[in-house]
Amino acid sequence: MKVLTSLKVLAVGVLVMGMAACSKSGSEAESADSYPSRAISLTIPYAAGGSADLQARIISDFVDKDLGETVNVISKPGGAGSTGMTAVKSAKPDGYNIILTAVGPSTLTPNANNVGYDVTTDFKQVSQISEAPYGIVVNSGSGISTLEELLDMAREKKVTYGTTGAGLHQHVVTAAFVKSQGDLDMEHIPFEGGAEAVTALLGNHINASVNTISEVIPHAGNGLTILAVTSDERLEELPDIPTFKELGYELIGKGAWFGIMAPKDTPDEIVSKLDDSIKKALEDPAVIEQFKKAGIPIAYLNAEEFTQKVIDENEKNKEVVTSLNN
Amino acid sequence: MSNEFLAGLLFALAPAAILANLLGVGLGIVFGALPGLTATMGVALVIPLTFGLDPVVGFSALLGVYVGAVYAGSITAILVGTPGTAAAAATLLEGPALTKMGQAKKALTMTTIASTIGGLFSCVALIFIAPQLAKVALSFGPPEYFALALFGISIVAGVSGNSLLKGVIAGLIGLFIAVIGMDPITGTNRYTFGNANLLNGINVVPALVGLFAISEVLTRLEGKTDELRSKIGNSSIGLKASELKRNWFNLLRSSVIGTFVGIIPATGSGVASFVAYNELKRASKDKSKFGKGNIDGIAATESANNAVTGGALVPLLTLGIPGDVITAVMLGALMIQGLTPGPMLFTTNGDVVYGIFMALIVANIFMLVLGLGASKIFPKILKIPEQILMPAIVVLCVLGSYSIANSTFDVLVMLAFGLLGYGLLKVGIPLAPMLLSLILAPIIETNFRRSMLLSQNDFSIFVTRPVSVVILAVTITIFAVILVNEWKKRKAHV
Repeated sequence: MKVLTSLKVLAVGVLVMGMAACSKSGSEAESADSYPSRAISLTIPYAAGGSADLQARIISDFVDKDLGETVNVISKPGGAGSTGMTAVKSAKPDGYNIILTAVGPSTLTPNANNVGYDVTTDFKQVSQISEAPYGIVVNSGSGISTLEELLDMAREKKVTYGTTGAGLHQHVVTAAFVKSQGDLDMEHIPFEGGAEAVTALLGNHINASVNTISEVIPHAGNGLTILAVTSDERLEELPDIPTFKELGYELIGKGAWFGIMAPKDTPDEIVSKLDDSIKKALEDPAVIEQFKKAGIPIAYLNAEEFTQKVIDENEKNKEVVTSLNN
Repeated sequence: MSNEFLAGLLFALAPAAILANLLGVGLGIVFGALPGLTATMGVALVIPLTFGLDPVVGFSALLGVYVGAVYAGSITAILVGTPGTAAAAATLLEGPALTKMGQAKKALTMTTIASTIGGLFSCVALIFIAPQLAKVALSFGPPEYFALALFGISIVAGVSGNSLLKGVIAGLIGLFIAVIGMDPITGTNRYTFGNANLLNGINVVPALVGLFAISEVLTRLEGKTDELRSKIGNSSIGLKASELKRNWFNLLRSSVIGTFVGIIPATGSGVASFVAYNELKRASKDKSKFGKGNIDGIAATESANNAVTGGALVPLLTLGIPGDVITAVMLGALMIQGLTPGPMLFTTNGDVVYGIFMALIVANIFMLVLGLGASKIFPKILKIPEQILMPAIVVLCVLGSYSIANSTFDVLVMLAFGLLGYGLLKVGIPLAPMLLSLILAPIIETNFRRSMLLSQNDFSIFVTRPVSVVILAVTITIFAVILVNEWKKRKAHV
C-alpha cells in the first residue's frame, strides 16, 4: 500500500513535471514568432505624470500600433525606484513584463541600498530611449561667466551647489568630478527635485546648481547663466555653451538616461523584436515631435550598446556611491 | 496686456473649453470625494487625454479636476468623517460634528461657498500680482522654510482639543514616523529594517486614510448609532445669510493665507487650512465653541484650501517652479503643449496664460454650481444604513490606497495606521496634530540641515536674514503664550 502510494505520487510528479516542461518549451517556441499575442505591461518605477510616464506613454502608443497589441503603462513608484525594479525582476520573463527605467533605479539605488537586484545580472537591456544632459548653472548676478571662474572661486572658499537630491545622478556625477579635481571646496546641498534647487539658485541661496538642462533653459540669460553642459557635443539649443569635455574634463555620466529593460531570462528573439519596434518609434516624426515638445532628447542605443553602457556606468557609479556613503 | 487678456478670455469661453472644464470639475469632485483617490491622480489621469487638445482646452480640464478635487475632499470629511484628500484633514475638526448635529447640508453649503470665495480670491491675486508674488517665493531659502514650518508646528496647540499634553504626544508620534526612510541629506537609511518599501518613507495619503477613515469605521462599529442616525436624518437645515455675513473677514483672511501658502513651494493645501483654522481660533473670543461643530471653522478651512489652487499656479507659471505634486504634474502637461513655464511665458504666450487664468475662474464657477447641487444630494448618503456604508468605505480605502502607487504595501500601511488611529482615539489622543507633524517634519528637518550646510554650522543664519528672523520671533512668542496659558490653566486646576 505504502509502496503503491509513493509510486502514485512519483507518477503524478513525473507527469506534472513533464507537462510543465512541455508547456514551457511550447510557449517559448510559440512566443518568439507570435509575440506579442496579448497586452504587454510596461512598468515605470516612478509616479504617474513625470518624465518617465510621459516617455512610456509616447512609446507605448507607437508600439501598440506597430506590434498590434496594447501596451499598458503601470506606475510602481517608491523605494527609490526599487519597488518597480523588483516587481519586474521577479515577473515572468516572457516579454509581456518590461520596465522603462532610468539611471537612478538601475545603477544608483542598488549600489546604495540592499534592494535585492543587480541591474547587470538580473535584467536584460532592450534599448536606451533618451538621455537628458545636465548643465552647471550660476545666478547671473554672481558675475561668474565661465566654469573656470567658478572652479577658481571654489579653490579659494567654500562654494555651495544644489542638485535634485542626495545620492541621485546629478549629485553622483558632480561629486565624482569635484573629487577628481582634488583642490575644490564644494559643498553639496540636496533639494527635493530640480525645481527646488533652481528656485534656491534664483533666490541666491546657493552659489551654483547642477540640473537637467530642460529645467534651466527657460532661465538662461534670464536670471541664470549656464556654464557648461555634460553631453559630449554642444547642444543644438545652446550653441554657445561649452561642454565639460571640450574644457578638458572627463565625467562619469553624460546625463539622465532612460531605457527599456526586461527580466534576465526573457528570450533574445523577443528582446530584439521589442528593440526593433522601439527603434522605429524613435525614428517616427510624430514621436520625435512629442519628445521635442516635452524637452526630452532622444538618444537611442540598441540592446548591445545599451547593455555595455549599463555595465560601464554601474561599475563607476558603484565606486562613487560607496565612497559617498562612507 | 488688454489684447492678450481678451484673447485669453475667448480661449477659456470657447465651447470646447467650457465643456472640458465642466467635465473636469465633475471628475475632480468624484476623485476628491472618494477616500484615497487624490487630486494628483485625477490630474495625471486626464493629462494623456489633453495631448491632442488646444492648450487652454486641455488646461480647462486639468484645472477643473484640480479645483474640483481639492474642494470635494471635504464632502466625505464632513459626511462620514473620512477625508478624501490631505487638503481636507483640517475639515475634520468641525465637519463631522456638524453632521452629528443634523447640519450636514449647512456644512456642505458653507464648504461650497467658502471654496469658491477662496478659489476666486486666489485667481484675482494670480491675475493681478503674479509676477510680484513670485518674488516672495524666491525670497524663501532653506532658513525661511525652516522658520515657516516651525511656525506650522505651533498649530499643534490649536488642534489639540482639551489636552495640550496629549496633542504634543500625537505630534511627537508624527515626528517619529516622519523620520522613517532615506535621510534627506546623506541618503542613509533610517528605521527601514532593510525593507525597500520604506526607503521613501511612509506615504502620507495611505497613512491619512487609515488614520482618519479606518479609525472612524472601527469606532462606529462599536454601536450606539441608531440614536445618532435619527438626528442625522433631519439634515435639512441650510446655511443662513447671517452666518455667511459674519464670516466675511474670516473668509478674506483664510483666502489670503491659502494663497500665500500656495505660493510658497512645497507646503500645500493641507497646511493652509490648518493655519487658517488656527488663526480663526486665535482671533476668536470664545475658544470653547471650537471642535464641537462650528460653521465658522468650515468657512476658514475650506476657503484656505481652495485658495491654494491659484497660489500654487503663481510659481508654476511665472518661474516654472511647481509648488506641489499636482502642479509638478501640470508642468509636464504645459511642456507637452510646447509651452515652457518661466519668466518668458507671459511675453511669448501671454494669451494662453490669461486663458489659463480665465479657465481657473470658470472652474470655480462650475464648482459653485455643481457643489450647491451636490450639497442637496450628498447628505442622502447618510440615509444608507451604516452596515452597508461602513464596509463600502473600507473597500474604497483599500482600493484608494492601493491605486496611489499600485502598492500592496501601502494598503498595509493604511490598515496599520487605522489600528494606530483607533488606539489613539481610545486613549483620547487627537489625530490632527499627528498628521500636521507628519507633513511638516520633513520640511523642518531638511531645511534646518540645508541651512546648517549653507552656513557651515553657524546658527546665526536663522537670525541674520530678515524674513526668517521675523517668522521665528512670531513663532517663539506664540510658543511662549501657549506655555504660559497652559501653566495658568494647570495652576487653576490644582
